[in-house]
Amino acid sequence: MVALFASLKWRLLTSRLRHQSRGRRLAAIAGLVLAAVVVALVSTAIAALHWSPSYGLIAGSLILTGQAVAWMLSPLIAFGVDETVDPHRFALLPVPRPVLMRGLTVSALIGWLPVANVIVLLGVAVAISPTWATLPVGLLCVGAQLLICVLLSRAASTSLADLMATRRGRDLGMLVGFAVFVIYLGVNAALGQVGESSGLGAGLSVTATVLGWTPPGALARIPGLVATGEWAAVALLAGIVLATIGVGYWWWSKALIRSLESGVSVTESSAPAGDHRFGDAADGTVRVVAFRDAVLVWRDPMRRLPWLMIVVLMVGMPFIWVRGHGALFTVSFGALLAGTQVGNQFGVDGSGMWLHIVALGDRTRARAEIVGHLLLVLLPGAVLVVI
Amino acid sequence: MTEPRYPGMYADPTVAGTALATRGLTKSFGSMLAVDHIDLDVPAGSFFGLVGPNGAGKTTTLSMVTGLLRPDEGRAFIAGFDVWQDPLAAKTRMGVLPDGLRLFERLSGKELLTYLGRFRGMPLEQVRSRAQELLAVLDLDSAGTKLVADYSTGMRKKITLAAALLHSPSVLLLDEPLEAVDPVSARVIRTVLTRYTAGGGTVILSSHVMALVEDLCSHVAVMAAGRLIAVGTLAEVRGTSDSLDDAFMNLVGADDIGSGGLEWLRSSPA
Repeated sequence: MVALFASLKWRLLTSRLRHQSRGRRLAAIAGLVLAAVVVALVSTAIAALHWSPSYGLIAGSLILTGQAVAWMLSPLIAFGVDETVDPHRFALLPVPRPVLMRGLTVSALIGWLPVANVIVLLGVAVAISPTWATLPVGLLCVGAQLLICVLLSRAASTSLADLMATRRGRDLGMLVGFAVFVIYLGVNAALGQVGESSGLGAGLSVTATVLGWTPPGALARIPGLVATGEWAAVALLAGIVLATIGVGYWWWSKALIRSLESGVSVTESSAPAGDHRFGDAADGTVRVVAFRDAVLVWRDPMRRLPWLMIVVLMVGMPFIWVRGHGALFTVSFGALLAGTQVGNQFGVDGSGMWLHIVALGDRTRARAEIVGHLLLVLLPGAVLVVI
Repeated sequence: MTEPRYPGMYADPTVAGTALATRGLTKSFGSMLAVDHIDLDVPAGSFFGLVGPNGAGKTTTLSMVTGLLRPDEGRAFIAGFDVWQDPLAAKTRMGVLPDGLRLFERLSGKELLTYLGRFRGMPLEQVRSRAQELLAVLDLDSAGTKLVADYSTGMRKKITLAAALLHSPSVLLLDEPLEAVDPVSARVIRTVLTRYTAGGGTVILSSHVMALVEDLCSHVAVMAAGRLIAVGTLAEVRGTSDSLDDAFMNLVGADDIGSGGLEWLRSSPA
């Protein structure tokens, strides 16, 4: 049965390739091979830290922690990409829950990203093993890391499966993606500033020491402790790892039962709708259109996200991260992005545009429709540029 | 000491001979009582229609008897097996076409049926031959290697029905099987369902379309506000009314809904 789950995942994974033309399929495969080569080079670079054990430990702790966080967040950002993530698709089948969990665990390990993770983990295993004799321990540790990643990722995605199937959930996913973007900018800037004051290495070292007591950090430390024969510390850290695996399994199991027995809700609404007043027809088309666009920006995450990014680029970056002349470029880029929202209004409207054309009786109202779109972009855009 | 659990040991002697039976089935969502202590017996071999206005509790009831939603109270039996105590045995004996089922979108129809059959433990050769026949009868074989993601609404209903029939269950539970389906697909689905009951299977379907229920079903249950307000053969529920539609309106007290107001509505332009 577990092999059937693996086969299903492989079939889902390769279906896009199989339904492409021969040329595009070859191009996609070439791209994947190229990506594998790049990942292998990165993995080799990480493995080279084997000859600098202290740096190997720091890099290992940071990579394993970052990897665990990424696995937990990935379903929020990419729910729906992997169809085996949603347990409801198996709800009607007479498959016992332990078999379902084993099958889903195996299917989580099949994919382009899991393969990339395994390649990187092989490099990490070499980096965190101070001697070749401890390499088997290192390999065991990265295997445990992969298991923790799968368990926590599946537990998080199963807990959120009902939510992620709704528009509200996808809204949340987009916000998480946006938060990751902002955190990335912040960390990038912080590391840059620390690096300028020559404290980068020290900062990372302190971070790795703290992370050493987390499950991924513990896994990075274990081979080194085995090499020096510190068995009490090894036992303590192994306990942390095993407890995490146990908690992850229990969390996933509970989430799976709750999710499979709570029905499916597909009608929950997105962002708060509320009772918005577009303005009376007597107020004029410009006002009605501008208000309608404003409401849609508030309700539709696809329209809201660009504006959030514009605010970060035009207000956040110049004041917090990029002071001086550089700020001019981020403001210009933000203004450009705001400008594209004018065109975007038509693009996002899609077939709705035809309704507008049918409804518009004359050139004056058509012009007012355009001006309404422009106003919504120009007013906040201009205010942000001035700030 | 806790008694060991054996398949079928929870069977209630009063459910013998029924395809579906519920005893005190209840479900609340917050303060709203969606299904209120329902006792229902569906005779084996019947074509059973579950009708009621929106929010009556039909989908909630079907979700609870198919193992998709745990009831707050009560029990549900499929072919004598308790759905919540012995879910594997019950799921083996039922085929379900639920509302809003998520399918594997990146498989073709044939691949989807093959995997679902294999997950049900059927031999590969049997799955292949049955899938081929079902696709042909449901007029889906021309879809070839088309992915389920590219299917129309009617095609999606038909492939889900094929998946529900694949393992030859004794009970088929369908939630709004003909909703948003084109007339040709609807005719195909009706024909397949009629053939299924003629072969001894039981169909339980929920629908808003009274003409469909009157045309197909041998038995009917009317639900309103989470309760069963009428159950019996079609003739018993229809009573002295001209049609099931009239009887339904009378039962749910909706005779005068839609009249009154709208005096401004006329054919002249504003």
